[in-house]
Amino acid sequence: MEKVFHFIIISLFNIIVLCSCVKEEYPTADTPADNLESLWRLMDEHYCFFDYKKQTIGVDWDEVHSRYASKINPKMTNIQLFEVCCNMLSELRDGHVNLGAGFDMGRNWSYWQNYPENFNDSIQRSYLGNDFHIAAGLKYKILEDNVGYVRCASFDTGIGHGNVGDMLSMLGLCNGLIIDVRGNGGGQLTNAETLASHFTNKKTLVGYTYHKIGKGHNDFSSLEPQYLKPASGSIWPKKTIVLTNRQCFSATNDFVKMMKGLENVIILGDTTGGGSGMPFTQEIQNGWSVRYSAVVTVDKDKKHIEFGIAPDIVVSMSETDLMRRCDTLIEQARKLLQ
Amino acid sequence: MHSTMFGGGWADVYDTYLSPYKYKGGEMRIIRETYRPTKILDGHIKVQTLANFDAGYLENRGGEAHEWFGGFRYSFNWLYGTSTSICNNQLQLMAGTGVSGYLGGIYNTRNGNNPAQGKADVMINLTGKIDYAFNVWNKQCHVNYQFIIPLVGVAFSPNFGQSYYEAFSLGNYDHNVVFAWLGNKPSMQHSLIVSFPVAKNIVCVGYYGEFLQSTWNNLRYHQYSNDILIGWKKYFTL
Repeated sequence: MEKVFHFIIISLFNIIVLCSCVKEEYPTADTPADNLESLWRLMDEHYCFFDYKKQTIGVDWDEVHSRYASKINPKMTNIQLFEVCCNMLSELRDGHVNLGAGFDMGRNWSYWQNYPENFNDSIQRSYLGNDFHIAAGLKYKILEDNVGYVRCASFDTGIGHGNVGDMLSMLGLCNGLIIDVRGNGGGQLTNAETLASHFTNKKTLVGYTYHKIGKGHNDFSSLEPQYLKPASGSIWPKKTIVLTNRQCFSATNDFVKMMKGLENVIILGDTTGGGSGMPFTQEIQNGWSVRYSAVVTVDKDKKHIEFGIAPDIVVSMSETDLMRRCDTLIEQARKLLQ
Repeated sequence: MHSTMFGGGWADVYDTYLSPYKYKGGEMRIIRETYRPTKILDGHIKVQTLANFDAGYLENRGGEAHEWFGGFRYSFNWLYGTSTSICNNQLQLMAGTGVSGYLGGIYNTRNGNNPAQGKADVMINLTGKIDYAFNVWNKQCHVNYQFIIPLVGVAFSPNFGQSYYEAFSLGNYDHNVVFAWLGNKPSMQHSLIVSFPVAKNIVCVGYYGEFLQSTWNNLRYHQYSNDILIGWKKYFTL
């Protein structure tokens, strides 16, 4: 009996020892070459848009590796290494991809920097004047022609159904509503969903989500449908126009995705900035943080919206209107709502 | 017998959902044990319960990022024991099985949409215990060693790149309850405790080591804890 007992214990310990040691798999040496290798590998295993970026902008991640590895030398400074790493990540043209060091944050903001802004902050503020209302970060006012104007500059601030309901009650007599999300770089997806849920009276398919389940570029979970459910409080029944520009990114892109196709909703302005990959954060061995797109969202037709959503009506800010301190997009929306 | 022990030590935590690198730091631990004989099999079966709480604060190797972690494990063990005498001192050998439940998590202060990793499991365990009683200056002292090895059970885990938003806001679950066994969760707990009387109390001092590991959903995890414990023990008789 005692021998059997000893045998069982020793066998189990052996199994544990053999199976054990869940160790770090990435390079641990803090050299420029190892840091670049870790960064490349981290992205290679976790980033969710490789296939799509290869099809659209021709990114070959293996080729990127060999091109940037050749730029590394052991004596380069941290700042030089940071520049090489940021340039490598910029190949993906993804605003959700960042490299964070103590002295800088690497980014690619070409999704809006290479395009007309179609938005002027001081002109937009002149429409609100000084006597606007604020509900959970949403600034709103009834314009002279009885059009409700809502300025949503960020989805970072918590938006509650009560806030939106109260705001819609205040605007209830308006002919229609303008929701201006230009320059809104995103925030919490739940806030975007809360706001959008007040513009539909039935459960509506608005898109699909899926995520990586393994290290391969195409190791994805199945597509899960995403439904927008009507809010339990006030539902806006009249025409709504959402104003967009290239700075509508991330959660705002998702808001536009949800709003597009809803009855009585028109998207007006420029294509959004995109950013349909929910970002995760990890790090490389020198402590720099790495942010990357990890969870994919596509629209209801299963089409990628990583590079933005086209508006229903394309309107750009005209130079003449700018000179007159007039917002072309707001004026166009007001006309459509009369 | 009841014992309560407090202590602290060093922890090494690695969870690839949060970072491809391990974090190290300090931790504190509280273990509450009850141990009582039964009448089953002529008194050879003893019942042990262990309530084990730990929490700690960690940092990455560069000191730029930090993690908080903590958890509570409750174990219920049945031990079959025999005793023998060595040099007029009693040696008890016990082996048995038990069930345990764990709830805990790790929070990374820097991460965005993957800031935390929840940990939960229910496991059937194998355990063994050796207790050696000896006298020093006519006072009875004990040295005991115990190990617990989780054999099989179920555990919670997000999938490789799955966000908690998908799982808990959208309800998109994806292999979040995994079958755990020795092959994908090779873990063990050890304790080596010396107890000796001081005045009217029995003081316990010892070492506790916990080596938790898992590899599933393409995620890798370990938590290695090495703690020094001190506490007291009380015997209750009917």
